[in-house]
Amino acid sequence: MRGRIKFDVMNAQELELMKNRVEDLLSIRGIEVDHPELVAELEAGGAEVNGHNVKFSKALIKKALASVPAEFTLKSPSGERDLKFPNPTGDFYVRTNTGAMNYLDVKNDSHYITLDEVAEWTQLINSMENIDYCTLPSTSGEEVPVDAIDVYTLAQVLKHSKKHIWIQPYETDNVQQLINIAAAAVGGHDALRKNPIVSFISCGVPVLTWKRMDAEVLYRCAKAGVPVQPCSLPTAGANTPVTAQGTALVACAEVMAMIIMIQLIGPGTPVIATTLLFSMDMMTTYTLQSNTEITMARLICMQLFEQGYNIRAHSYGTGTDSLIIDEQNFIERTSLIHMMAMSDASVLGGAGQLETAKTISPLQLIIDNEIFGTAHRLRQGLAVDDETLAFKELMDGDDKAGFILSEHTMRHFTEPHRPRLFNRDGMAKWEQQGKKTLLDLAMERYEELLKAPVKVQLKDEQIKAIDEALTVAHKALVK
Amino acid sequence: MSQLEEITQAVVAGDEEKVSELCQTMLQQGFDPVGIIGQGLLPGMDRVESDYRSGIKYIPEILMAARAIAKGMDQVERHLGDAQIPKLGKVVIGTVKGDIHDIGKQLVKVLLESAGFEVIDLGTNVAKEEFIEAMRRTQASVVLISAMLTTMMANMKDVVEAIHQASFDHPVTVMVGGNPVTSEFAQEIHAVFSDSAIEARENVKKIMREAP
Repeated sequence: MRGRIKFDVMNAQELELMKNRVEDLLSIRGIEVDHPELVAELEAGGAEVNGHNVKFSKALIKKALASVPAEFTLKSPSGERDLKFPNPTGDFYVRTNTGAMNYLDVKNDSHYITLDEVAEWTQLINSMENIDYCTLPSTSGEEVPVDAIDVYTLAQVLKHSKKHIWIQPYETDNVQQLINIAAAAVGGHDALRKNPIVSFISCGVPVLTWKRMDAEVLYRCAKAGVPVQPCSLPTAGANTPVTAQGTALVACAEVMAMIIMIQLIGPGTPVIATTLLFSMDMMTTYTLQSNTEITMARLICMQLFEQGYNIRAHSYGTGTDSLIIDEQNFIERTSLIHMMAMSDASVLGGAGQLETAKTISPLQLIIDNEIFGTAHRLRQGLAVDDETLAFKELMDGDDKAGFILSEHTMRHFTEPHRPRLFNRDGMAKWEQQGKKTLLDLAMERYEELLKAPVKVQLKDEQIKAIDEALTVAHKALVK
Repeated sequence: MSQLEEITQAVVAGDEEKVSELCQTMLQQGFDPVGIIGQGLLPGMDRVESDYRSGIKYIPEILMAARAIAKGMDQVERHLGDAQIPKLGKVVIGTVKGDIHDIGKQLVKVLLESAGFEVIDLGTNVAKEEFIEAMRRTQASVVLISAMLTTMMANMKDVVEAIHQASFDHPVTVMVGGNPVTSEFAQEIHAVFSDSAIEARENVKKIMREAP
């Protein structure tokens, strides 16, 4: 990749040690899985099973990893934003927050998310050029049946999204219904396998334990050939070691275990290793996402999967522990974005989120879109050659009038990144135009984008098929 | 320095072996066990908490002090034989069905025990019927319910509603906490909200003080 700057936290020996320790944990300690069908198939596939405990020998790990597809595409419902992995340009993709239950609206009112806000949020994401796919927020249980929050939210997002959708199920029985609804949108299960417009998250519970619902995600998605972004959500000092390194080890081992399980059940199923690390503040016991050491641990995880195993990796690229859109928020999220842009990550997540991922904000989403623009530019790096050095022009010495009219400038002047909403004017013009802050400009963009009514993106027959699948899901799930 | 002060300082330092040895020595010398608890062990926790509130000490240091107190209590209990150390009250604690997160709950449990409460721990993934049965069986006046996952908040609401609808022959207070739980949510489901383990313990103390 051209001139790419890369932050490697581990040297070659440390990377090798980390790989060995991940595989030691999975082959010697093993994992705990509460899913008899999955465990039985893992045993048939060569795993050593003792009750809920499942161990993967190093030879079996190697065999499973050999079937991880080197290339795959996460499809978009519109076909306009298909995401090829690895990204042909070496860039990363960006996704929004997943699972937040609070919506901080533009009037600064924070409340549980309504279905209309899910549609508005999805429409905003469609317009964000630096956001590549969306994830499901958590619609309020006052709006939809509590047993089926995830299926109702998915139906709403499917109808409105032009971009790929990442799904977080809430109950074991909902997993298959969610797959069915996504399949209905594209014309059936075979079509979904070929045209995966959705992918799923499955989460381990540290350390190395899977409850039934998350095991069900692995099992059903592997059977259906639906991509999974297996995820570990450790909290350093609480459910994983207090050291960022120890927490990274657990996260990597958990994600690796899920990748192995998926590949043993459904060889060739696309996977993206997703390590979303947190830490516990030892003064307040609050869960934090912006701790400095944990940021570096995320880089360790990205390095392990991308460099160590050539598996695409995903982590937080933004977010904050601040509760509001304030100075701390911007310092934390920008610092994180820049660090992660320099990592090996193929996906960066969390756009639009506040309050350690519990709240989403449309204004923050619009501003994150700007910050990610800068991060994309950083990922590209700078190539150093005679053309970029302007060596010929400098040797010619024809620069007494400066460079504003030089041919070299004409060739390169569009290259510097220029964020749409950041001020680039002088004081006089800024004052004349109303002294607008970044938040004012984000609000203007929000109003401009939502001038047009929120609209569905699918054809009538697709909407009908989704609604029919939703009705079936409702009958099956709502007690 | 008095022996009681030595115990207090060993609790502050989280030195459980020293606390145990000092308690054993004092008990052998005929000191009043209740005095050892009230003037030696518990003042240690008060000092650690005071330092915590001042931003000097961290949660692990509170836990170390709690562990040291537990060692001292072991000695006292051994000395008392069949006689029981009086408890400040009983509470039931558990994580809601569907959620197997344990850490926050354990933290609250340790802090409550170190403050002199009897804690009936139902573990994780606890059904509403189990909470109700435990409340009736133990006559506990406070039930603390935890959830770590956003997705489990509906279950928490369900449990709390079931407890409110159940009949008990003693007053029952429901307290909720955990990462996704907010004061608004707690208010909505008619439960007491605790934002942290420390706050949970303070709230339990307050509830017990104000109990009829």
